Amino acid sequence: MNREHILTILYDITSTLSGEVHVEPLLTKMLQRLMFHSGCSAAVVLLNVPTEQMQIASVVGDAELAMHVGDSIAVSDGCLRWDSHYEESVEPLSFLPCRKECYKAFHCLDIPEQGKVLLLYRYLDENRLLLEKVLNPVMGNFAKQIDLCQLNDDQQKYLESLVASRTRELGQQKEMLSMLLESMAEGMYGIDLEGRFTFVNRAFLQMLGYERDDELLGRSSHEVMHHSHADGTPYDIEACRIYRSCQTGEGISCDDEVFWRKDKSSFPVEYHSFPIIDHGELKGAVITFRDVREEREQKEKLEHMQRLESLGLLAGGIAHDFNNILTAVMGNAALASARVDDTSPAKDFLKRIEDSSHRAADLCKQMLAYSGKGKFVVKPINLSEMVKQMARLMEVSIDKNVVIKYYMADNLPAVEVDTAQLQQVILNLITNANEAMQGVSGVISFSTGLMHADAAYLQSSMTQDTLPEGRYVFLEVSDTGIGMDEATQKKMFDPFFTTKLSGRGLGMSAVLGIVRGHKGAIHCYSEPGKGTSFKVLFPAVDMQAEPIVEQSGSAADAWRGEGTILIVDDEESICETAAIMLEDIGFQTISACDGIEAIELLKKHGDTIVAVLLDMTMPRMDGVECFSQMRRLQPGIRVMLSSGYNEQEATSRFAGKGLAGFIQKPYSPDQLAEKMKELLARG
Amino acid sequence: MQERRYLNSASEAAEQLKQWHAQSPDIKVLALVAEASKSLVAELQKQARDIDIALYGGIFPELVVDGRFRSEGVLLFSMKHCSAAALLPCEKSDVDADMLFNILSPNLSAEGGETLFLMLDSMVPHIASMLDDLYLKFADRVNYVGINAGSETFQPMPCLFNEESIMGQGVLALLLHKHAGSLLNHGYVISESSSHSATTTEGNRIVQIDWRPAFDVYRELVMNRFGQEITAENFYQYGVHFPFGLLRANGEVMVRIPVALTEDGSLFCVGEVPPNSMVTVLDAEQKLLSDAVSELGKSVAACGWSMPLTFYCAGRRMHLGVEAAEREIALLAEHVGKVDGALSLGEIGNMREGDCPLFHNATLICCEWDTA
Repeated sequence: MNREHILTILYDITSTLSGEVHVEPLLTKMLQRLMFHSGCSAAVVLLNVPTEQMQIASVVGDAELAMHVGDSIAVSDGCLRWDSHYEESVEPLSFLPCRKECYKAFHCLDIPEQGKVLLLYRYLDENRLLLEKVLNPVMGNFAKQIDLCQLNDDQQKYLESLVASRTRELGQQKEMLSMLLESMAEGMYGIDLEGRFTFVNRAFLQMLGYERDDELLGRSSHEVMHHSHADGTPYDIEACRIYRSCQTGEGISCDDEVFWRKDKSSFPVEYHSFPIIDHGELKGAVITFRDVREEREQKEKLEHMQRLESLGLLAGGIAHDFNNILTAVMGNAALASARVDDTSPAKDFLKRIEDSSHRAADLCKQMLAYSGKGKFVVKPINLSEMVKQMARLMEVSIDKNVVIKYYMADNLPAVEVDTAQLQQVILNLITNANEAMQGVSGVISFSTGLMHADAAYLQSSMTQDTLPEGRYVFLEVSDTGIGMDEATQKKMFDPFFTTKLSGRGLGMSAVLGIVRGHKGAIHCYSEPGKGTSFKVLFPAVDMQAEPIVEQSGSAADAWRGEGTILIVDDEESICETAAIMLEDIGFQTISACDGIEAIELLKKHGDTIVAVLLDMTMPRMDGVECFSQMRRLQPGIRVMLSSGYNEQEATSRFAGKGLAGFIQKPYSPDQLAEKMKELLARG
Repeated sequence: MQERRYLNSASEAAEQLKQWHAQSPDIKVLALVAEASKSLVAELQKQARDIDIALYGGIFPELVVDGRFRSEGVLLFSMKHCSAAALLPCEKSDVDADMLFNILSPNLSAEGGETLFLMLDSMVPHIASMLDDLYLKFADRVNYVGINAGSETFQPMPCLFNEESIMGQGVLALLLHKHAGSLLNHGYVISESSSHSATTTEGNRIVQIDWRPAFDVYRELVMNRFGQEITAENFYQYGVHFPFGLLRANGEVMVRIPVALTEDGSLFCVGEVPPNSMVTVLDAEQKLLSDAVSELGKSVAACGWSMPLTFYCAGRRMHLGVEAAEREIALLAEHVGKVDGALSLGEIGNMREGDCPLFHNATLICCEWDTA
């Protein structure tokens, strides 16, 4: 082998070394090239380790030795001392766990500061090349290459561990994000710059009626769910706000559009679009949205209820003032009528004044009912019994060709109601039902029962605030009349809204006011041309129902009183009317225009005053303060409160203070006489 | 002594399989099929399946039957000690080696003395690398014998089979229990011309030698050493006579016969040429080659093997001619007795028992077959 051959071999081996960047393949390749050139059968690399021993780092060609790769071995001192060494015996390799019986010679090549290479020969070769000399320069390079590869391996290991750690962290973050995404109640989806879906969350699938995201991914979001306006007219993608915002990279919010479900139905949405910007490059957008249909309906309902409540306050105030006026009108007409001869031409006019006053009083009553400030004396009753008792009254209220059917439930729990107001509800409903028949034959049915009303059912009803879930007794009035369209249904509880030529539009408003006043609810179902059904619910109570007693007729008859009555009212006309009414039945009267004057009169005439007729709302000193001072002056004084508001509301501020009686304005001479009789009879 | 039969027809072959199976139901059969008779393979497979006999084999350019080349027929060898076998497509050297090791290693015996008998499609481009990877896995637990099958024209064809299937671009591996292995020799020697570095190679393609187009350097070497002008036109006529040698520092040489030339001046060889290998053009004197055959015969006889399964490299026959090749086989037969086998397209083995196996061209390889 000439010098050129040797150089070529060195070049071959050096090239092999320089081509490797990891320790393990470097060692293997080196052994393979050394074996190829030396003709040995097996080879091993022993590397220095921080201990005193060496490590078997790589083995080729000896299966037994290969089983010890990675093991540390105690190398002989002789081996450690060899720089490069050839020996035709393997006895010096006693430390090596190989099949020594197979080998006749070995070559030890020193890897400077790194370890040793041992080449194991099965045959002795007389013409062998003195590799121990030839390869010395290569072994230096080999040592350096091992260092470089080791550094590279360490760096790679570090980077791999870093990558693994980051991958784990990213995985956790991804899992967390995925969990957040999937647990969101709001719908969320992503689109690329062409508007194609890149992801959707679970809420999206539920709201849009899809089962799996692969039904959507890659498709145009605009074409899938945003293709038309609420009225069904096409929504061009170029005009689409989401698409445009995705193109411009601007975030937008919108609450006046609809999204379209898989089943081609739509729902109103509020959505927000945020651009996805990756390293300064616009990639698409993320859109969050929610279905606002229910929220809007609730808001509309709340606004409607608030409007009705405001109107109720107004109606209540008006009714109160009217009642004051009507007290004077009705009273004076009655007094005048009593004082003229039956043959007098004025008698008829006075009668008309009285009738009109009563109709006006009825109107005020409805207005008060609507405002929730009507007469309010509750007691537990059986709703079925109540309906049965009113049967005759109802039958005379309807046309002859209309049949009433009753489906009354037995053993209903009691409901706490003001019977007079409940009667008003029933009469209003049957009056409406009868009018809905428009003179043609049909059926009006009454049914009662007990039901469990859940929150959803109550929310879909007309009611006040939020009613608790639970047992409710219901009365359902259904007719086979003309029914109502949606617009009519929306307005039917509005005061003064009517579909009748002669109606005042207070009937259903009053029903609503009364039901709300009883913490009940109304459910309406109506179809034009088919009929209407009103279901009125009252909370069931665990009380024994009281028997329903019919109102007694006038009882004052020829009763007469004596003594002085102190009339306290800032309305002069009421003072005058009440004084005449009371004087007509034998009383003397003195009047005061407010509380202060009343107290002075009581001090002055206290021993002659048998009772006080006291107004509630007055200037300078109102009824409450005046009553207190009177009770301090004369603890036994009998005071009857007179108000245009209902009894419960008016007397609530006198609870436990010894108020002797209440009379609601307007009142007739007979009603006043009756109340006085009751008051004075109590002693 | 295992039995062997040379047969010329499917019916004879089928009858032979039936007979062996009747004598020994567990017997396995190695079949060497001449390319011209490749249609016999399907018949053999059918018969093997019918009688439930394990069949392994390959298609070779020609057969060697009793020292003579035969372009037709099939040589059947019974095997009693084949403990495991695998027929796999080849993909990547380390992957292929892993798969073979995983399939065969559970059958390795603790006492050793086994041979890994490999039959590869000559078109597989990474045979030498696969051999390196197999040696890393099996190490000295087995002896290594291998030959390449296929067509002498180097046209792709399915050439490896078992009783179920036939495939190209694959490897057939047999694990022979209690088997002594093989020996090979070629007789090609390093010429006096200087050595060179194959600076750019890709598998079995030499792109550059000494940073110049491989063909340019090859032409110069042949001209300088042998006075023969090689051109692109006569390359296919002369290439086989002037093979490359990969030089080893121990003085040995591995032959690489150039078989194809590309427009960019690259040369394709039978077998891989590792980058930066030391290459030169070899002397291929007939006498030296014959001496090597004689030496091989003596070595085989010294091992006590008789009538070894013998493969003769097709490239060597092209170089020497049929008559000279048959004379070499006769020379071998003087030492080892009857010579049966096939023309091969590359050989795997070693010149001395226990040496690291290498992939060669242009050799004769004798595989002990008494105990197969």
